[in-house]
Amino acid sequence: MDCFEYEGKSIFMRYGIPIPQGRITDQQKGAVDIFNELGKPCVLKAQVLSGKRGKAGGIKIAETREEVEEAFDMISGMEIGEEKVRRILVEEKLDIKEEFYLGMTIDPFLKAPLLMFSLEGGMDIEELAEKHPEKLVKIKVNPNASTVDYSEILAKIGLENKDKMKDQLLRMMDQLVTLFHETDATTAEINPLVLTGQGELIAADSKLVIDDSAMFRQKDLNLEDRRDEDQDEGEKRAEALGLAFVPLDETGDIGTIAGGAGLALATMDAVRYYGGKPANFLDVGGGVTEEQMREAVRIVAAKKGLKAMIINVFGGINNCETMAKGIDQALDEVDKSMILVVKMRGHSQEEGWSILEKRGIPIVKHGTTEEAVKMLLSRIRGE
Amino acid sequence: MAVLVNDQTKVLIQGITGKQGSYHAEKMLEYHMEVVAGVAPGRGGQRVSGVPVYHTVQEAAAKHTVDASLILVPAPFILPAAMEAIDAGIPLVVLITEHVPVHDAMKIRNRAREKGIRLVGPNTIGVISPGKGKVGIMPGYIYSEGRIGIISRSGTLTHEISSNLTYRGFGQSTCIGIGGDLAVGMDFVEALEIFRNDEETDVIVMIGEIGGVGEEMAAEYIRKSGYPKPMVAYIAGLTAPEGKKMGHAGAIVSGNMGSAKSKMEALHKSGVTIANTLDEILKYVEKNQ
Repeated sequence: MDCFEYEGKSIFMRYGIPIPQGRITDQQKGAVDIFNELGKPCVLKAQVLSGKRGKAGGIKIAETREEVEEAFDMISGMEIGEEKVRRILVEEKLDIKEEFYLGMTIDPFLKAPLLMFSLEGGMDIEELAEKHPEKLVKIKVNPNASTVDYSEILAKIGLENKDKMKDQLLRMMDQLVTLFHETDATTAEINPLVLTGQGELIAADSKLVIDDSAMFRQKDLNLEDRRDEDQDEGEKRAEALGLAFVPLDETGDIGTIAGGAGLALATMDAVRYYGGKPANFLDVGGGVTEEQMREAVRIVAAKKGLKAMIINVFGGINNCETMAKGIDQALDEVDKSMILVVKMRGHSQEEGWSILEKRGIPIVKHGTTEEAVKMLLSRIRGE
Repeated sequence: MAVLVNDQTKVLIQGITGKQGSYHAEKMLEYHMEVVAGVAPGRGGQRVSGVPVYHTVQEAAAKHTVDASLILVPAPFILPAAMEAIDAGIPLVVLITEHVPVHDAMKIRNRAREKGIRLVGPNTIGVISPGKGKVGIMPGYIYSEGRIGIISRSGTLTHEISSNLTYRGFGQSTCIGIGGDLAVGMDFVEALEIFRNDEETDVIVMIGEIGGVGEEMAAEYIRKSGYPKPMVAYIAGLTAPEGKKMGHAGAIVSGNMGSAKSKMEALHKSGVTIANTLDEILKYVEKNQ
């Protein structure tokens, strides 16, 4: 689950990490109110998940009431990437002396959390990491322990930065490590971490991602379900049913349903390889029920202009009979002209095949995914 | 003597009283595996398909010899269950469960390494040496005995490829589902090391997918160690749209790795044959075995 900046910052605040004063609004009057409360120059920041916000003009500085109104009007209703701006964060403009980088992620090589710090923060951090890796300190964090040896980072800071900053940074790193562990974060990034003219360290931005698999125990984070604002009906229904569904480009006319992400990807790849256009990715996952299978077929079939569908499943952790029943139920409701090919084998395959055979659906029992795809494509061509 | 599992392997099933647990206990027994015990906290004293159930792994391990634990408990309970198996010193722990929080997976992996336990998973179908034994949830009859070794991140793709091979007369020595998650126990490199000196394995099929850096790490290992066996790799996800990434941290650590293209290029450079389609795997095996 990706957090908006303001959500990430409110979670930072719970862990004691200093953030600028301010709050969100979706009204021009609200923006002016916040500006008046703060009584100083402000920054208005579009709340979107896209990383291209700054370059797209989603961040504006305002020093007067008129400028706040103008900035609000310019940002609200913008589209950044494919996201509509629905909320704007209005916060105090910081007196920036220096910009650092502090972030945590999961290192896929080490398969452990990694803490990273650089004295040169800001937008070009990826380039810096590539061209001057020595300027970025990376520390492996033990997943089973909370104590971290920060000495390497402290050595980097050097003498010119006084003890006060070191103490603040030490505290902040501890807070970030604790937050990372406790909130099941997979990314927690402060970029830039600002050193103000008054010598305070403040998190000027937040990029926080919480592990979707851990949301069951992260209800306290109050990440209200706003992520579906840009989703269509099918995506919402799929999500509610626990199906991994991703619509692909508009022109795709072959629906795909598979069990397991790998097979779902391979099925799409095969459709494309042999000249077809996949309409979507759909992985029914493990332990699939009749209802999930039925809804999967309905969701995929709902796409306009869909010509055909391939269902490619195994009875491994799933059961062929259960899946066949779900498909069977859905077929009463989908367009009869839709061409369907099912490839199915595994646990309870005989029972599953017999249900589908009664419907007259072509079944690939022992053939490969590609044979199933080729069969589907030739049927579309009317061969 | 197959690697990892064989016809002597004595298996414990954690979560045996659940729907998945009881179903797969039955399937394991049908595959002639010796399922010596099951564990389900609060359900000790019961029997599932004749297998005695205990409250804890410690209790089960005190009464029976256990070579491997098959863990089928739901994700919210996986951390204590896996830690119990590792702390009881069971040499092979297989985590089938999907949607395991990555922080839990990292903790489990870390502990397993400290204790010298072989950990497979999470999010895997397990391990099978067809005709000899399995510690997993794969339907046994689509696999067959032979000399192809399979290492895979994807469960259903392993079923697909193994059954495609089986129907064409090519059996498998051992299939290792390493799991699709970021923080898995055994990775491609460790699995390749197991097959390296396995006299029963002639050809290796690697099945990867987008995400993570496991395939790239395997490519480096193959090149540096002068890997001695012929190998073909299939990577799923060439047509998948690129996911949006939040922040820079991920890119700083893994750069452009993770895409199907990056993985194919890395493996190709290391001398591994790349199968563009699943059928090309069959063609490679026909030619090389």
